[in-house]
Amino acid sequence: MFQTFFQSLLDVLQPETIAIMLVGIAIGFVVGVLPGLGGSVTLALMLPFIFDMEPVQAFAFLLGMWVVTATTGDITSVLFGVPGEATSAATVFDGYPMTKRGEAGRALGAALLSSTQGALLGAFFLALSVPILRPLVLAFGPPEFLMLTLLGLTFVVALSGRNVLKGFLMAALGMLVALVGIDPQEGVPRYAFGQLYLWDGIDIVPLVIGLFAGAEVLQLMLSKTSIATRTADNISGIRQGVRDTFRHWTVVVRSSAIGIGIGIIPGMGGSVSQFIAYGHAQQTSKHPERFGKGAVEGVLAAGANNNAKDAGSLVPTIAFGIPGSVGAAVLLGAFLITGLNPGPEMLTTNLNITFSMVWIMVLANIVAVAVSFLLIRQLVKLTLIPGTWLVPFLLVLLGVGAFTASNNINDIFVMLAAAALGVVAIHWDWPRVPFLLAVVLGGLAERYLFLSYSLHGWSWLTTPSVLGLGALIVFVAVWPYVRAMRRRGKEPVPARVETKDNDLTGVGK
Amino acid sequence: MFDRKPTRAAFSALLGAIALMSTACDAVGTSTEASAGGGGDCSMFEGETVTLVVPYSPGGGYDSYARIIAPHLGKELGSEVVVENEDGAGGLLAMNNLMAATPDGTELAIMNGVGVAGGALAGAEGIRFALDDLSMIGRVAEQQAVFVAGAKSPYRTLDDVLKADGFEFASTGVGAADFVNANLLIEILDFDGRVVTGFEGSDESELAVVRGDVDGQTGDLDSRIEAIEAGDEHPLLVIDTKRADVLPDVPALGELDLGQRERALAESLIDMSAFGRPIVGPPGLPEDRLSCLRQALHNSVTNPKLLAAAKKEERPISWLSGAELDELVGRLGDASAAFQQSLRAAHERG
Repeated sequence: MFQTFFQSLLDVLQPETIAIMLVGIAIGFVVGVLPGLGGSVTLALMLPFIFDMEPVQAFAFLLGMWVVTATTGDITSVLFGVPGEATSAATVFDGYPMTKRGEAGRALGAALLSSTQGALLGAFFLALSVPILRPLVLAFGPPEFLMLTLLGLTFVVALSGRNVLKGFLMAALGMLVALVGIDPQEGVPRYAFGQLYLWDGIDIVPLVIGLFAGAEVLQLMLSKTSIATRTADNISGIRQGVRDTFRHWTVVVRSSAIGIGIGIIPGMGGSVSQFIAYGHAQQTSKHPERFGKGAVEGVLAAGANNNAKDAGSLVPTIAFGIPGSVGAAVLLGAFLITGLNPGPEMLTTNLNITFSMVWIMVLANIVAVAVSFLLIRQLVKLTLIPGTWLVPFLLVLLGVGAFTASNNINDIFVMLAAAALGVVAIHWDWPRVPFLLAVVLGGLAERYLFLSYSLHGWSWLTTPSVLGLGALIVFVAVWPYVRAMRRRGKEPVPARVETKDNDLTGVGK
Repeated sequence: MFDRKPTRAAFSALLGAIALMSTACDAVGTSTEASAGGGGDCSMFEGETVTLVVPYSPGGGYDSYARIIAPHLGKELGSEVVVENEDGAGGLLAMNNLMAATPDGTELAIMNGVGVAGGALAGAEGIRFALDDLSMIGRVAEQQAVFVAGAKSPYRTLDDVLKADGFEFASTGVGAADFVNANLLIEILDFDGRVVTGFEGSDESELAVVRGDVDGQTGDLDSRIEAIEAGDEHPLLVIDTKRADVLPDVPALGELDLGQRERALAESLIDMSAFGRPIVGPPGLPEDRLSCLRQALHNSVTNPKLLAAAKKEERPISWLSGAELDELVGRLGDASAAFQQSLRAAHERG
């Protein structure tokens, strides 16, 4: 097996294969940076070009392209607050505030390097899991998925910042939005008001774009300044970002693990795991209050997560031909075109191809990140362009980004409504992330709850894996309070300071 | 092993890059250069852009077929055929939008024949048109449905299922093709079965079958064949008049010994399955445009180059002309009240 592993590296390193992969990377780079031009649509467009290729070449081209979109999507998120890809949305939360503070170089350095680290960890995991690929996919069912979504929802507490009540209210609002659409059990449209557009619920992409990017662009329009009023020394900023990934290596590793785990689950979707990773990073941080205001750990969590997730979603694709995400669904077409049968064959006779995918993910990410690092200095200058010049361009990105989610004009209206909500939330200091998390996870939690019940009655509640995950949820929910109490025990915080804070937020005594 | 044509492969990848750069601003689309002439009677399409809507997200059967066909159809029409993914409401959003399109043939869609036909006949909520409103251009692929049981379930043959004590089907939702098929099978074969809904897509329902969370499902044979060959699912019944070539040992619904009422239901179900994946246009397409499109699509799907591409992607072409589809619509319209009643029941809640 080890021999096959290294033999497959030689397969990938064939000059023609490398050339094809570089073309794929170049396309993926551009697609990732541009919002609206999604990785999966591009993959579908490129499928016909692999007809005459050998399997390894085909995957070098397509997989190379796909994994790079997740990396470069972060660039647009950090610089302009508009996610380049749906999976780069969480990078906006802290990456964009860092840019506004003049730390774009640091944020990009952290996002890009953590992306590579996430990809490496994901690839490493994929390689390691080859012997247990099939049992691994089968180990989890709807009850475990439900517990995972609940675990994600407990992060609302952390994501609420100082005012937990406001966080819960925003999460409740998010849950209500998640109810919109055809209910998964009876097939009855809820809150659809006769609009077919609403049958599938509110799409996450226009929501994120409006809530974060839309609100920021409006502010940029009104402030008449550039995104960043100054930039720190770029080179040292990039170095600092790189150092950050090593300083907070536990965040990178855990976020990657979350990405891999959720990537494996078909139906959870690629856009979910970044929010869970982000929530976990805030929950475990010593300074959760800095999140959303430019905490580098937030950037690291999102960056590492979205690349590791791609490796995860390949696991069920390779093992069963069941794609773990939309992108993986298109890649499945590539299996068929090149005459491969997903399933046991991929782990025996075609093991070299499975391993070559691991190498392709690693190599493509390294190349893309190296190129990105060369460009960072130029890219950062974009944030100094006066807002009056930049805003029209950003408005186009907003519109295109929201529209191409499902090629529906209503997505633009959702984006605008979300932008209005975003402005209100910023103005009165209501947290936006709990809302988003609840929209994403609320629908999933409902679906998996009903599925668990219709499959197993109530007996699923007492299975060991569910109980274990339940214990983890309790731990995650209680831990911040325990830690706060322990810290208070060590170094008592004057009670006065807290009263002062309360007065500032207007909540009063 | 495979043909070794590295230079050609590299070249086509390079072409891919160029093609993407040039269409980058379009965001979506498969384009072909307008070629000279596509038969005298198709002059009205020359230089036009025709949109072929896929009512689902990229990846999967409908998307593949549309992308295989688009460039060839474009050549036949002398126009550019662009594929657009318009996901929503289980494919119904795009279909309802198509109904409102200008009937000049520049907006077409590849349709989920079984799902839409079943829903239209049942008068399901969200289908705001009758089946015979659609302009049928031609069916590009049949969708032979197969009934399978998971390898972890105790069922190996249809007889096992008939004796079952609560056979559970996985379904993606009320009104979906797998829901309609499962409910009608329960009624036709009269066994103790129930349908579990709420799976996000066929990926998730397939995983539930393979895991053994449910006993089985119905699905397209060309999507199921991988799992069958890998031994993860056992084929029990082909929903067709005759057996499938790839599964000669699996009985077909048409050959079973059924009572009169059940036989009528089975025939209507098989008729409905025959819709497969048709390409359709909005209502009221002028005769000249419709006949041009029908001819152009027929020429495309008989083009050896297209057939080779389809074969390579394991997406077999199975042609049924627009006129034959119209006949099928008529026959289903006359289907027994019992069938429509069963369909309606399947669209409410099993």
